[in-house]
Amino acid sequence: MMTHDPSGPSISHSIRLIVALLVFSSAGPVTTVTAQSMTEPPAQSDLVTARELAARGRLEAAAAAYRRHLTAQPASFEGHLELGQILFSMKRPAEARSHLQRAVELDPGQPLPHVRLAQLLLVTEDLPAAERELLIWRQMLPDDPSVHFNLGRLFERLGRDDAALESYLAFLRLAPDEQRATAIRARVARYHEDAGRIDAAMEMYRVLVAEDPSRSSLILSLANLHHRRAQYDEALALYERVIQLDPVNVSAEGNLGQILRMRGDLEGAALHFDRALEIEPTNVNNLYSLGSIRSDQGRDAEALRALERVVVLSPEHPQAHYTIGQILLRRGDRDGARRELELHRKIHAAAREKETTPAATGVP
Amino acid sequence: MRPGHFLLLGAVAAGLAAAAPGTAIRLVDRATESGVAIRTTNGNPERRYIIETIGSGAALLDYDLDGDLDLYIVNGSRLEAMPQGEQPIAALYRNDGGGRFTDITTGSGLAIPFWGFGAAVGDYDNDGDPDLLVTAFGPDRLFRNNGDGTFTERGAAAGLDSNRWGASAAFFDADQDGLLDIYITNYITFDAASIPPKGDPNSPCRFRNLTVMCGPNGLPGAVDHFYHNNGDATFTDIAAEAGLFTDGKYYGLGVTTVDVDGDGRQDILVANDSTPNHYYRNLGGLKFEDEAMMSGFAYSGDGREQAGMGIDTGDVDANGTMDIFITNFSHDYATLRLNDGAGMLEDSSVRLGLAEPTIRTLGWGTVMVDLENDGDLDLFLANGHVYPEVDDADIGTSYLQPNQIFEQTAPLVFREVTAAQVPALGVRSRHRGLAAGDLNGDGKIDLTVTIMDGQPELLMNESAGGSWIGLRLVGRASNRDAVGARVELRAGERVWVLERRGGGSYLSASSPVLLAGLGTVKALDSVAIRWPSGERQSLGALAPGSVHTVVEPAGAGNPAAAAPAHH
Repeated sequence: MMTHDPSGPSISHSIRLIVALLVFSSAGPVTTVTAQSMTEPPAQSDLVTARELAARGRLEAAAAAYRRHLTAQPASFEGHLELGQILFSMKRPAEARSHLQRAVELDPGQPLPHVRLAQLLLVTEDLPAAERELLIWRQMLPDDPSVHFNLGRLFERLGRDDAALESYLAFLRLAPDEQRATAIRARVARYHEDAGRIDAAMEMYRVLVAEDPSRSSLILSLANLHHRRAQYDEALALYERVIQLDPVNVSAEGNLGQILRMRGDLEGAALHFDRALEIEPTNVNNLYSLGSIRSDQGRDAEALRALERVVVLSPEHPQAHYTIGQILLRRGDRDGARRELELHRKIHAAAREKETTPAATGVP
Repeated sequence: MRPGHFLLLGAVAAGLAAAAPGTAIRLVDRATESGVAIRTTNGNPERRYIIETIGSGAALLDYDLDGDLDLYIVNGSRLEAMPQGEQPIAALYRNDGGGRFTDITTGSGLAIPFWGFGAAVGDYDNDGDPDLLVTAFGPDRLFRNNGDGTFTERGAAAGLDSNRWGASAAFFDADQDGLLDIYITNYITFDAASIPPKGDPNSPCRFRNLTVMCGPNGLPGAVDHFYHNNGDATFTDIAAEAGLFTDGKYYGLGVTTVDVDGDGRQDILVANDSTPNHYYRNLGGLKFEDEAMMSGFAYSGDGREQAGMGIDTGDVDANGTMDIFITNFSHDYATLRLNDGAGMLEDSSVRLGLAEPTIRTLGWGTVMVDLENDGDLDLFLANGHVYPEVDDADIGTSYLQPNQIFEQTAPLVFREVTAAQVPALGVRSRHRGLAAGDLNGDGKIDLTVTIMDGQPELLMNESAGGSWIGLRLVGRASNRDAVGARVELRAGERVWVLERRGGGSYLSASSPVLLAGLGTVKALDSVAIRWPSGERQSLGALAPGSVHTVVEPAGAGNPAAAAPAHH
């Protein structure tokens, strides 16, 4: 779920920028404003005053000036647009929306009201209306990276992953070096990953890691993908890099331990699980893995210490009961073993009872 | 194995380029030139239902008693109706020697269309020739060998007419009465009408984000059959009375019978898909108890249900007990269980380094055999995935898969043989069944691998191997096939323990001849046999390099066993 994260620069910052452009440029980015004279009528004078106040950050006063201007000139496109933006930055979205909509009605061919209205609608969670405005924005300014960025965010919120991905890719195509691009690349990588397009995800993570080789979270994501594809050599090297960069990364330690364990390097694996447990002593998975390794090594006392801790932390941990049972069997304690194995069986059976629909085969 | 001089000898003797360095194992697919041309039909290639994914097997049997192994290839079918005359039928190939086989199915009595899965071979009527059991979706078929090159289907007459979905089967003598009983694993209670096919918008069945066919999880399991031989060519299913699970919660696929605990009785090991495995310990008197949980056999070493497919046994660590190897699903490892002789069947795959190299593959048929006759057992796995969709998903596996060999290079040290070393391992396919046996009498174990919707592979063993010995056991008081016999070969400090097992691998029946690689041993000091009847026989030294036929001493053993009528 997307958080309320205004796209791009903040609204107030945008407004100041736009107002400044309107005031100090001979032509604004989306509309033309004639330079003001000292002899202009009062309504125009209010507009100039409003802009000056807005530029100085005196938003309440600016809003009052805009209102005076609109009282005199109710069909002022600039007045409605700029007041709408001011009110939006003042967190008065309902009023802002009515002024921005009025601006749209007054000059539907101007993109900026659509842009601002879309942003407002996004923030206020009126997603269908936001989509409508964003699509108009995209139609008017197809090369504006921000519209693709915002559409991506919108589609993400609507759960339309393919459309979100398409928008994000368009954004990256248009603004590959923009500040937001790194975050979007990470997001795109995640989309690919979730959709099972592992090649594409890995490629994206590689670009991100090349951009910033110190970002351990991205390296970890790349390592996890190699791990998922059973490319253990690559995964191992990347997990080790993560640990170099982030010596308290529990995931990397744990996953590295898992790979070494599957390779039969039990002592190497135990070392990593030990480290992971120094960082997070109550991590049940790593505790279990350590206990399981010690059991495989026949170091039963150490195994039991770890496994009994697992059972304390997670009484329904089936595998811990199972491995304790195996150790007790080896020790000749068949009654104790039977108790543990019966617990394991019951937990398993309860899980299986929940399977009421056909499902694919395979392991968890 | 130790490559050294075997490699050199092999290269010179065969007049071929030396095998790739690092292994003496050499397997070459000779199916096409052998004449084994059948292409099986195993459901719709779209694999909409689980029944279309598990393939079919093969059996090695000397049906004509001419001394060499003939080959029976099970055939499947389709859910869609097929026109009369176009329905798939199985094939029986007569071994003509010289690597050639002739299809003699027509007129053999075996040319009956049905959806077959597994095959087992056993002389259930003790008349001296091998009979053939073929499991099926629907009634299983029991083909009695008439002794004249033909068979008669006797399934219903013999009481084997249940309507379940049979998978692997084993002939074995559960009560040591000299008559072969039968265990049949049944996979799923399958009704296509009640299962959404793959592609159905209402199908909930997913595997790692992929829409796939449904099952087995969520589908009803099936009760296995345990048929006791009544002695009059009929059988009675006594699974419930014998103490076996009859709650229908398991998905049975693989089965073998072997004396796990060394008490002289054949125990039953069942590889269940996605449910706990069974280890039915034989208590005698046709009573069994499940020791799977208390031996570690039910689950993986860390307590997970595995998706067991194929199973084989052998004394891989040379401690005199039968160890167990089970193939599993992808994203899980194949499980080597070492038998400590004290009741534990410990999952040792992780510590022996077998876990990682078997994670990517989905294994089916498997055998523990000495491929290069260097004196220890290697592992062979027939692989292939059930979901064509995995190729679209980058999840570290593939639909078509290569077979695998893990060569034992030192005691309990396994090294995977590469496709560069054995090019036959580079062939990716939908491998399923696997039967092992010496097809050309050269003392090396050849492998027949079935392929779903394809022509089987005939992997002829052209390894540069060591010394070997073969034993063909003939029971008298014991069952005629001597299933359950245990043989101990001694040469100095070395001891090999072999057992004539029932079932094994996956949907397939391997050779009844016990074949042991002896490495550099040129002479055995002794051969001792414990017959299923309980009779013990010591043969002194037997010469390596040939197959010896050993008949159980007259007057031995079990008063319950009538004197068998042998050919």
